[in-house]
Amino acid sequence: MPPNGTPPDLSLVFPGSDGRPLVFPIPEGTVALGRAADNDLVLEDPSVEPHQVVLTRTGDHLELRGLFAGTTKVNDTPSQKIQLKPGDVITLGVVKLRLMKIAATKSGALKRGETRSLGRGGRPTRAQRRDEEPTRTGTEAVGNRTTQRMPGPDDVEGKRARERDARRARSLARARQLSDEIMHEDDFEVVFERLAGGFLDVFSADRAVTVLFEEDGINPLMVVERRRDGTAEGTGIAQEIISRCLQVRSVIRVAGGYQGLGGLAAPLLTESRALGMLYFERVSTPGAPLGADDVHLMALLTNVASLKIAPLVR
Amino acid sequence: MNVLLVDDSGLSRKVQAKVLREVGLSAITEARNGLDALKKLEESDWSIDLILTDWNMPGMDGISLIQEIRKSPKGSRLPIIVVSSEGEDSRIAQAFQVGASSYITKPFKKEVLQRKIQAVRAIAEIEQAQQATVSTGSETPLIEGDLERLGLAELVGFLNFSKKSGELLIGAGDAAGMSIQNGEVKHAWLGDRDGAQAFHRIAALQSGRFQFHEGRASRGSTITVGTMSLLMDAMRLLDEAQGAS
Repeated sequence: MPPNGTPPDLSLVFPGSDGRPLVFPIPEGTVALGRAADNDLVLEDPSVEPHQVVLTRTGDHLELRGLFAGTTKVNDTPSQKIQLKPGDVITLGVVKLRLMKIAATKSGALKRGETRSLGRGGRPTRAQRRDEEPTRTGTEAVGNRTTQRMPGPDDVEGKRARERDARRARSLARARQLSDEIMHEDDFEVVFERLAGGFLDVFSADRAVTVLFEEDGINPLMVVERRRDGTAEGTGIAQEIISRCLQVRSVIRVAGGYQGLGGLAAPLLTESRALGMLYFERVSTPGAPLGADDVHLMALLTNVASLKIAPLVR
Repeated sequence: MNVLLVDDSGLSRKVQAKVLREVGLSAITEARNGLDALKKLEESDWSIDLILTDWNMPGMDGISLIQEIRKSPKGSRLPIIVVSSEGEDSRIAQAFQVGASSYITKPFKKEVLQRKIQAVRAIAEIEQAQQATVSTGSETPLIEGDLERLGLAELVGFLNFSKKSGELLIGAGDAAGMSIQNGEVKHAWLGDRDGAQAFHRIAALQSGRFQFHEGRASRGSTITVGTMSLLMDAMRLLDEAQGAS
């Protein structure tokens, strides 16, 4: 057992702004890497795309999936989908990250969501902010012991956090189910229908729209729309959202509207063209604003859908 | 029923063919542009019952194709649906002016395309029934049907294109209806309302029986705008109402 009590685990190691190596332990589930602030690991380098890759860890298995943005290489070979093993070097733009099975020291380990300024390395994001906050109710690993703190005034916040985690777990489970459903479908139209219907569950959306483009990758051809009330009526998707999405070539947030709607849109991309796009919107509720988790799930599902649909519409 | 599908996009043809098959139309001939379509029409000796055509295509576009088809006696009554990304009112009106039977903008929803196909099929059946009535020398031809199957926009578009004159009654009795002269809607009424306001209300109806009594005199003259712009306004109001629902 290492001095800090943390067993060796799969981690990404990359240089920080001061040249010292930073370690990002890869948690179970899905983590997103990119330049945008809502990634799990933020890589502040102009050569990195806002949302470039997603890593999915199941036990010791780790898969990389590119989001068809920017240059992604594994061991100097361009890769969009690949199983990773310790020792592999992932290159995003000009940023290199090595996958290692190591024990991170408590002071050097970057946690999911941690934010720290980096040079050509990475800047992990959110969770560290939470961890750096004053002590709250919960269980924290310290060395090789576990310390249970006494309940305090932050109980309400703890309950909210648990509810949020439960909601996140449900969304992830439904997203996996939806991903499996579309991977077993050979009719592109049914794939679009399943995605639109599935988005109502995964994202608690009020309205979901999927769009298929013509071969030129620009002109929308067909729309599938599903609403929470079970109807297929509605206005589809505004051309300006389609244009912006194609320009950014990544997940974009769509806000506003007369009902205070929030939504996400993402293009279905291959390396050569845009196949279509996915969109959902929901009425904002105080407990469930659109967050980074939604963006990651959207990116993941968009990636899976692109891989599935590309051969079906050739 | 034989269908000719005209589009330079192979994916578009593939998607539309799938929609056609789902409504029971599996005898499909495909063409890449207007010239190709005319060639396929000749090759089939004009045994095509419905055409779906894109507008912008290299070689010959969809509008020129419709003009060519309407010049021929064999194509004067052939149902043609334009499926195009051209969405401006003036462009849609242009398509109807040259003889399109119906129009749907890309991106389309499968359900809407199916409704349009069913509507033009219903009109074709009405025309066949009319011809049979005329040929047997029986009483004044009467068009009747259900708005659920044939939307009011398609029905009025058909009456406009056919330059019919008479009275279109909606539902039981004569609480709602419109007077049409030479294809142009001259008067509409719905309860106490009349004019364009009544027309827009009627256009929003999605179910109910209708009867067109050919030859009946007009009850009034409350509408002065052309029928095409009346239909465009009605369609836009319907779209807005659906979007707000």
